[in-house]
Amino acid sequence: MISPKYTDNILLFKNKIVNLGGNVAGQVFNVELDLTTKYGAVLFIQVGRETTVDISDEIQDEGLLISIRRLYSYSGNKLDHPAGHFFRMRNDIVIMQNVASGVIGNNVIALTTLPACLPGEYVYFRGSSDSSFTNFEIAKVLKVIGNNVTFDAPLFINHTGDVMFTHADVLTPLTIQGGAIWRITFDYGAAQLPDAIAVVRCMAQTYDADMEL
Amino acid sequence: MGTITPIYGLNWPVDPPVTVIGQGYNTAYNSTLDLRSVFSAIVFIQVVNHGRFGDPLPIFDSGMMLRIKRHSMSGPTDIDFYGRCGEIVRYLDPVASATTNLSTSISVGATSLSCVSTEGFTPDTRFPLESNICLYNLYYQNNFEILRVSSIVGNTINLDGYTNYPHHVDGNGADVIHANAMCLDPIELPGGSQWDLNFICDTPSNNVYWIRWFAQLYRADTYTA
Repeated sequence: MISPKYTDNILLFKNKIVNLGGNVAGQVFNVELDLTTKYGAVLFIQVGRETTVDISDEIQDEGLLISIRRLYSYSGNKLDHPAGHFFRMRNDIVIMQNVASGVIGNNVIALTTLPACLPGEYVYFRGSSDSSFTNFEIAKVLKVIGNNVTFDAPLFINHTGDVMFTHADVLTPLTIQGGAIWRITFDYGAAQLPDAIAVVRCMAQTYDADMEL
Repeated sequence: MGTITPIYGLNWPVDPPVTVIGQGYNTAYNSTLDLRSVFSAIVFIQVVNHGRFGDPLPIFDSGMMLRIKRHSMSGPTDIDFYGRCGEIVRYLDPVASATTNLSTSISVGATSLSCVSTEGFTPDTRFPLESNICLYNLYYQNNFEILRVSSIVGNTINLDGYTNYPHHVDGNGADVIHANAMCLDPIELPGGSQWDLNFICDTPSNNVYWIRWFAQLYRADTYTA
């Protein structure tokens, strides 16, 4: 019998900031996944955004662009081929709110004010002064009543005293083929505003080999 | 208990880095990819409208027709039975491309390009084709590459990646930069046969397309005891 062998929890980057308003270098971030000896992989990408103003009209109504590209090489040079999977994130006004109570293992939190989120959307948490985003977590809203927000699953991190942002994004897991190096790019283009960032996290599971049992 | 892992024939250069067609009417370029003994291949195709030599504003009256056809194992038959059944067709619109030159030489790993002008170049659009550029130098012949524009500030083009070749401004001229460089989504071709790649266009005299294509082959599986 033959069965597949997978590797789990490959952290391509954790809580990487793509600066939507700073210098040019901060607005693009690349990471590469080497599948040259593997059958394939599944990519998982989450995006939390922080901005207090609507930046959609100022940059051609465009938000953060995520591209996932298969590279090729010639004479030892690793060459780009800008085509394939492109995902454009929306740009809306993102609202930040304070969490009065949010306990790990519970699926209900209390905010200090009436929630701005709506059922069905994703929200993003971080510590109120958490520059390394260690409390990064994205959750899906199931219900909103009073100051309470109910999620579709229990929280994995304690968020009491943290802040919560509306309009996070979770991409559908993407299966990519082996036999090449893949580049995942987060690009915002030109800077317009000083206070907008996206916090992105990307993980992979790889299909490495088949095992004889 | 053994382990089975894939073997890829990476980055198989089927043809010279860049093939030029279109300097005349009814021009075509044909090539063959032999997949008779491999599982499959991923094909990368890049096409650049170079324009008409000596004409800064070329008018293209023909796009590029790309046909990828599967043969029988021994080659095309008289009636092209397999080819007509297993044909992949792409039509690339005749988009005139803005052109400029590098103003400063750059080395491998550069994330921005200083240009003579950026008029006609488009950053970070919804449509990847529009923000792809091609860098090439006809003298050096070996530094063709396509990159994507993230932003444009004055006469500086900022990339969302980095260059993989050096690009020159020297006594042999400056590297040319073309807008609207076309990269097709990689195409997977199943193995078990030969495939033809046909690039066909009908352009006014001296209009030129640059073509580059590569294949990554999934050759075999290997067993390790």
